[in-house]
Amino acid sequence: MTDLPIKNHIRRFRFETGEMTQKELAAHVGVTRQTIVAIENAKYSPTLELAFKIAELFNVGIEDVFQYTTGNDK
Amino acid sequence: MSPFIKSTYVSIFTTVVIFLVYALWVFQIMGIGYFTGPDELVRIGKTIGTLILAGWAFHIIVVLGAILLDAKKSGKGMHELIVDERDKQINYRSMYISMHVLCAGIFLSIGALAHGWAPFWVFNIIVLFYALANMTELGAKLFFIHQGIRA
Repeated sequence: MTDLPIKNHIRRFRFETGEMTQKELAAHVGVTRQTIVAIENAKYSPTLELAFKIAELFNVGIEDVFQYTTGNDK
Repeated sequence: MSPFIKSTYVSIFTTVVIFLVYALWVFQIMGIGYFTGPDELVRIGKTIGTLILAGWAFHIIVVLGAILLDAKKSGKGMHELIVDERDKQINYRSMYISMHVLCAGIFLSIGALAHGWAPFWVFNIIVLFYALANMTELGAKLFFIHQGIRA
């Protein structure tokens, strides 16, 4: 399966937020660490609710964390 | 390994064990002759009823036991044991795929019934496709876990 069209900067934001671990982020937003791993590796597109939770945790807008990339952008 | 992946692998193990025991019980220990005669439907019903009840009990005990034991050994927190949105999506998608396998078995069994097959074989076509549907569901889960899933 090819990578999903939604890219993200979760990894960068985690490190900018006191080197937060995937486990800590998962616990904060109420999912498993495997889901965070899948999102970071573009293997899973989160629901809007989860995307907002993640953005809120980093205190940024949702568009700062997630970007939709069309075929032309790749 | 996450509890979700672990439970999938354990489920593959329990499914294989349950249906192997069923096949051994029906075809080797009892024999096909036991399921013929005036009481055939009652005997088939009891056997399949036992398969469902004992199978589910065995499955639940083994999967729960494996997950709790793993959580205790590795010190995983409760948030690692939850079924989150991705797990649910994987579950729904896998069940949707396996449903087609089960439906194929039901249609085949109806066809067999129409062709005058003995009830024993008609019921066992359903059991066979139930086992195949289970394995398909678990295989699909592993595929989506490793390859990713689109909404």
